[in-house]
Amino acid sequence: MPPEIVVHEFAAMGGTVEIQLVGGALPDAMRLQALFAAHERTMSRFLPDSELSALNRSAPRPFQASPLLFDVVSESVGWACITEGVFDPTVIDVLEAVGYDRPFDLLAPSRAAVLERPKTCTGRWRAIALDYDHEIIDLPAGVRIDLGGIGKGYSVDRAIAALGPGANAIVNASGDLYAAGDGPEGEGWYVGVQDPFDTTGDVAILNVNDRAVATSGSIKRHWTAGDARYHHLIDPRTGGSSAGDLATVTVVAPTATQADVLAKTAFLLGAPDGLRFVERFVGAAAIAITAQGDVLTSRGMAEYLA
Amino acid sequence: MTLGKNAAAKIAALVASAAALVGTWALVHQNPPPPAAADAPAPTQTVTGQNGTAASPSRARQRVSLTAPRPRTRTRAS
Repeated sequence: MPPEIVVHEFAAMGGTVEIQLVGGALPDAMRLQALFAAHERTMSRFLPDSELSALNRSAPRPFQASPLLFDVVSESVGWACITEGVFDPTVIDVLEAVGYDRPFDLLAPSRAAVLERPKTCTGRWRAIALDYDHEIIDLPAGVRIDLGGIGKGYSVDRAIAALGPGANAIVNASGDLYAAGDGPEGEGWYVGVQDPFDTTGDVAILNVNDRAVATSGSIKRHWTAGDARYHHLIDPRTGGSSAGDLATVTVVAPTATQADVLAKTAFLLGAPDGLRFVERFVGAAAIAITAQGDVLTSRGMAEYLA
Repeated sequence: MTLGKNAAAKIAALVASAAALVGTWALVHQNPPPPAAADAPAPTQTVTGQNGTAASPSRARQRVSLTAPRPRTRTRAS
């Protein structure tokens, strides 16, 4: 008799979070829902009373952060360093200038024009000071932080940690997920990689256990202003929406935070540099789908293909 | 040669054996055995093409094996 699976879905962080617990109980899933709600109240740049909004208003004064906000901001800055600024949590001015100034659901698909873009957006994360002993964040004047590129992955990791060791579960936040344990049949979790050109189908099926999977792409969150097309993946090197050659990048990695960041970084770097970058990380592998529909895989991905 | 008392039964058994042999021959020739493993078609790959390297990533059109297990969940760009 197959084990019982509790499936629970709820809205959070601008999308849908899906929890699957093998042999679990609904109260466990409800506990994770509360965790996501708390993280959203802390990390959202769209909620004026979120802790992140308070931090962004605080510059240039030091800000006493909660342990949660300090941890995710320091992770963000750390990944900016590792990716040499390709992943940059301070491009919020550009995001707003190109039109992403409210939750995506509320964005008009077409706008008359965009604001003038900031003249400088590269490398401002380097000026953020972090006091690890006292959890104080010091933003320079004019610098704000957006956690949209890391928040879902980070929250997925915290949710899995909250389930405790030995969990057999999936936590999937709008496509950024962690598959813990061996799955309901004991042979790993099967995860579809959505076809960006036919969202009813998959381009690959992955078989993973104790691994995270995340996908980045410009297929969903995009809009037009005037004659130009924009999307939410900002390339700090150009100061605008990435004009790369990829439709999506899916990354398998040991943590959802890492998968989330590497997928965005690989997307911005394009092929083949993005795949080459992912290969630097132990246990990480990527599938990239080009704008022409070709499927490219990094070294190591064969291990995860079903 | 003496057929003895059960001649009719022995003749019937011989005829039945011959008929069984003919039937077996017909079955074998109408349903040849499957080809050797080396001759069999390769199973469908989950993603076509070879596993690429970063230096020269494989280029392949999308395709998912029809025999791939049904996924429990999906990853997608959000």
